[in-house]
Order: sequence, then structure tokens, then C-alpha cells
Amino acid sequence: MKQFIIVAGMLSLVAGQALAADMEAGKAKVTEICSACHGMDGNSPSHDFPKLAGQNEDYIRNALRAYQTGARKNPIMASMAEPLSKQDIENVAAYFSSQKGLFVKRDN
Amino acid sequence: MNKSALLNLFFFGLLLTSGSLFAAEQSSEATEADSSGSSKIEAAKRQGEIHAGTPELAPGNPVVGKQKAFMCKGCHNKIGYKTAYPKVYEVPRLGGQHAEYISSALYQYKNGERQFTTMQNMAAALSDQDIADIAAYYSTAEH
Repeated sequence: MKQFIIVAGMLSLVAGQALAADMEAGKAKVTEICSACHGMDGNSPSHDFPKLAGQNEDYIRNALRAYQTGARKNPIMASMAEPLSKQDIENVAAYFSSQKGLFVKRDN
Repeated sequence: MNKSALLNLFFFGLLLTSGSLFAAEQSSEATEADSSGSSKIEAAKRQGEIHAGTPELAPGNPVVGKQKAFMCKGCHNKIGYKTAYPKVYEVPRLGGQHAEYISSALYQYKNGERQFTTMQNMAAALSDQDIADIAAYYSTAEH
């Protein structure tokens, strides 16, 4: 039981860390790296680059990791994603998803 | 998809573009064709770099696309819908996305350059016109 509590405690710590996105740091990273193509708030002015404003966090996180591992191939994005830490990815994903832009179409 | 296949696709795109330029030259003043020609080739080059494999797009019809998107809606028109396999994550929001990007993604799934089993199966069944229409539907502003 004691062991279980310790393990559960450690897990919740890890989970807590994974969820703690820093919005200001995300904005700074976006300004530095992403904004030239995707726009400051993720509403990319050029149709050559996807909009990321309002995209869900989960999808952005997954896409950046896929570019890092090479599962998703794009020479531009591979070099952009390469230097990002796990925390950077959390921050950038949280920042873009909090902006106003993309939406879910509701008609069926 | 390997590099040489990508290059082939790129040159095929250029060939298509130069073909249409040639036709334009036949029917209009040479100077006009030259100016529009160089910008068209520049555009094709940019597309080749960024959206390799995307043929020149037919104009998409969002109203037709709304009907054709019946297969897409099961996942992409539900808030918070998640993939089940091989990884669990929320599917992308497509409303308001650039039509060109949606088309490019569908072509990349279709030619295997981008790999995700569900989307590869979906894209395999779509014609160029289907892709243009569906992209037009998702890119339009109204919810």
C-alpha cells in the first residue's frame, strides 16, 4: 500500500508537469520561431502554411513530435521542431490553441 | 515516399504548368504570356517545395463539398473527437483552415507521403475534384 501511494504520487507529479504549460513562454517561442510562417497568433497570412490558431493542443503536440521523430516528413518543419524541448512543445501547443481561429464545423 | 519520386512529381507539376503556358501563349500576346508565365512558374516552384505532389487545383465548390464530406464529418465535425489507433489524440480542427493546406494534406495522404492509416484510406477514394470541393467546404467561414 505504501509503495502504491509513492508510485501514485510520482505519477501525479509527472502528469502535473506534463500539463503545466507556460503561456508566456509559448508566446515567446512562437514569436521567435513559428510566427514568420504561421503568423503571430497562428492565423497564417499565406495559404502555403496551415493556420494553427484555435487548433487543438493535442494535435499540435502530436504533429511536432511526429516531425521530431521523422514520422511526419517535411524538411522545413523537421528543422523547426528539432530544437524544441518537451516543455517548449507544451507551451507552443497551449499558446496556439488558445488563439481565435480554427473551429469545428457542426453540420452533419 | 522517397526523394526521387517526390522530384518526379515536382517535375510532372512543372510539365503541366508549362503545358498550360504554351496553350496560353498560342491564344494571347507573347508579352502577356511571358509575364503571367514567370509568375506561374514561380508559384509552381513554391508549391513544389512546400506542397510537393499537389496538382494544379480545380476551383472547389463548398456546397458540393458539404455533401462529399459525409465521410469526414464522423470525426472532424465533432468537438473533442479522438483517434483510437495507433495513437490517441484529438483530430485536427478543419473549420477555417486554408483550402490549399487541406488539399495538400489529402494529396500527401493519397500518395503515401503522409502516413496515417485512416486518412490514407479516406484520401485514396477521393478524386481531384472531390478534394477541391471538400477543401472548399472546410475552409469556408460559416460553422
